[in-house]
Amino acid sequence: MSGGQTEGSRALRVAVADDAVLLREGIGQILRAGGMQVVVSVDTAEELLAAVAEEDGIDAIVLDIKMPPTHTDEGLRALERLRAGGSTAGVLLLSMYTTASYAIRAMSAGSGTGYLLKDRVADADTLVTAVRTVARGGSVVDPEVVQFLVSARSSEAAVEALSARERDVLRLMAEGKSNAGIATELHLSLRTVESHIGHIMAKLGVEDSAEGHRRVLAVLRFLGRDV
Amino acid sequence: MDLARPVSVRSTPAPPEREAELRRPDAGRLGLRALALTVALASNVLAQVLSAVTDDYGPRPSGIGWAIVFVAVAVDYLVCAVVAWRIVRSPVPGWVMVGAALFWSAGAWYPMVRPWGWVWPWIEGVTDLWAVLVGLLVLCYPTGRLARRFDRIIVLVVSGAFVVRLGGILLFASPEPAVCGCASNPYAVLPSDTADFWLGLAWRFVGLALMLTVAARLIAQWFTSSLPARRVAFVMPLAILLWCFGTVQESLSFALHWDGGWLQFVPPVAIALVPPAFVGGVLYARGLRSRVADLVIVARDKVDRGLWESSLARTLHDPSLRVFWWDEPLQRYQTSDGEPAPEAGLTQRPGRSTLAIDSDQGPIALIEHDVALTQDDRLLDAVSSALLLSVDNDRLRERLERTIHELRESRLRIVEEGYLARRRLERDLHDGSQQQLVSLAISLRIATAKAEAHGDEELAVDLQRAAGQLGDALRELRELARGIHPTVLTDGDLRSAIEELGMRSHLPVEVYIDIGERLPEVVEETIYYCVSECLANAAKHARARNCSVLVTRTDSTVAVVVKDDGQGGARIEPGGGLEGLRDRVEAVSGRADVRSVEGLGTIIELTIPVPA
Repeated sequence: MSGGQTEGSRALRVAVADDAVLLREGIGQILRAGGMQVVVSVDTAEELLAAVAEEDGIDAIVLDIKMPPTHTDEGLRALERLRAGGSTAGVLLLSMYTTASYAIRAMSAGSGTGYLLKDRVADADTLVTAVRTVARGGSVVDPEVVQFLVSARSSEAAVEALSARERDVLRLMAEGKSNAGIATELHLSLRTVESHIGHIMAKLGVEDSAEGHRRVLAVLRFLGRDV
Repeated sequence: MDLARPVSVRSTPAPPEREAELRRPDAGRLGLRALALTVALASNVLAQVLSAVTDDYGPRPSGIGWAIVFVAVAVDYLVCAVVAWRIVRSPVPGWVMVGAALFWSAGAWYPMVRPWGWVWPWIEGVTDLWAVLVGLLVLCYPTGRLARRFDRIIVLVVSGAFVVRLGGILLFASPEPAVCGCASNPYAVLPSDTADFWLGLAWRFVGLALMLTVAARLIAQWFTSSLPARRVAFVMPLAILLWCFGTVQESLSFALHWDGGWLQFVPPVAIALVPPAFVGGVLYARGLRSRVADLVIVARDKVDRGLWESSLARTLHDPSLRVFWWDEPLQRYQTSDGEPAPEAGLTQRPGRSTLAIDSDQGPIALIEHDVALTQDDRLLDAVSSALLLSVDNDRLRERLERTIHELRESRLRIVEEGYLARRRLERDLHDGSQQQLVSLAISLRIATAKAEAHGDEELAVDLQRAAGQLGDALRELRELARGIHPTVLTDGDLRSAIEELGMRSHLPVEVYIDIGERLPEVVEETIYYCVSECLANAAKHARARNCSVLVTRTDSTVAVVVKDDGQGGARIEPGGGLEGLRDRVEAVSGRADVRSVEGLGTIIELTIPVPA
């Protein structure tokens, strides 16, 4: 298992919220196996918010989008409230379906946010990597959403301006990969990847800002939302 | 007709005997009428011609002018008789007119038949019979029947007086042949000039008195009756009055040996006025009847009870007319304003009559009207038919509207149930099977890790393969659930849902949505599934290259337009996808229009009403 390494000196402190107990336990097990510490495990967004407010130093939160009481978008609303409350903890939203509008809403909340299909939970590496990325302030979008958006948006002018290679890089950026990760995946040198990213930012008109958020902006621009 | 009893007209069709009366008279009856008309006309013309030829007018006024006047009066009666036979159900008035015309000539025949003693007393005896018939005609207006007991008494008295007078002439009249130029009366078994004179005088006075009585009754009735009655027969009393005046004037001039001048033409004119007044009144009533048809038009739109009363009053020229409607819960008649009908004495009020209108399902209404309207029961038949028709129409319409409303509601409920069932199914899948399978995937993952830790590579590979199969199953299940009900439609909004539809489509889809706040759930779902169907059609059947979806909203409707540039030729066909689309839209009271021209693409337009 590749998730054994720890971030810095201490294990990441993670909160998990899902109303499906079995699933929540499974997520906890995988995170623990990945070397993380599950400090909160609750089944509603309200309980999560209360626990996060009490517990100091939570690095990441993994939460289901659909939770009681309405089973609609409680997870998204919890994310928005956390961000409104000034929390910078990474938030990874889990969903049974890939819904573009949810992904966009999640990304709009700012950096340190991720949106993953629940199926990925079973793939230990993906979950653990995604939690680490959001805890770092990076962003993660499920590959399926990205794939879907790339094919849907391929005809649009802004994205059309990108070369095929640049589009691949953008897709991997959206998935939350680091520059090094992208370089490995595409068998490119780190410098080439950085050069591609520079071109993408210029073509999409994303201004200079903090590295993490810049990537988020690029993804959002890519998703077709004016930011 | 007994006026104290309300006329009840049932909703059944006219009884058979009435049908028989309405049928055209047969050939034999027509022949008889033609013969009678010919004889009466010939009798008048021949009498005047013979009088002129022989220059023997007897005691009657002479000259060509008078001859024309006499014939003209007879022709007037005969023409009116023909009209009366056509428009009055009873043949009596027509026959009375023909009889009056025939006996009108009796006076002119008298000088011709003087040489025959066995003829002239009869002719002289019936000289005044026309006047009796004219009186009868006045009294039997307009139905040909003697409606009132008073009228029947008058007719009996006059007939009696006439028989006495005829008998008197036959028995007593024995004028000097030298004076009258006539043969002796073979019937005069008791010749008495005195008796003959007094009987003649009495006959004149009785006749005059009865005429005055009839005239007084008609005039009194005219003044006391309401507007419709006055309108129906205003000429008749006038004619009778003129006739009375003429008779008095004639008697005076006879007694005073005074030539009345132009006034002597008054009696024939007055007499000639009676039959036209008769047929005119009947025709007027018939005109009213035909206007009752207008009431059916009024009733074409929903029965407005207040309007019905005023329309009926206007149509029948009876402003005093009231309509009381039967109120089933209260078990009473009441006006359209809910004012109860005067229970007792309604039918006893002088000059008023009532018409009860009932259907098989019970009473409908009670019409209180002027008694004059009962003179034409067919008019009331028409009124009740019109009312029944409109009430039935109203009931049918109400039932139909209720049924349509219920159908619409139930269809909407069925569609809503369908959407609800889809939502429930998707939710069950999401909360049940999908979660469990994801948990299972996690368990497999953990088991795999354990197998790897224990160095059991074979087991780890098997478990990984199983996890891969589970992943495929999860993906398939996810697509199935999305097809059943897209969660974004419930959680997000119509815009997101349609944008996602556009993105998922194999075609480039341009989406423009401007609907403000969210629409009712059932409308959003209808639009979603319709757009989904349209996009699927565009990609699958139309071989389109581009597609656009436009959703806009006005105050009361939301319009959806889906266009593609495919091969066109799409039609709503039984069992086809577009039929299902139309059914969905119609279930929410909307409309679906498909415009699809071969080679020019397809435009599908949905208009769905939404509460403002």
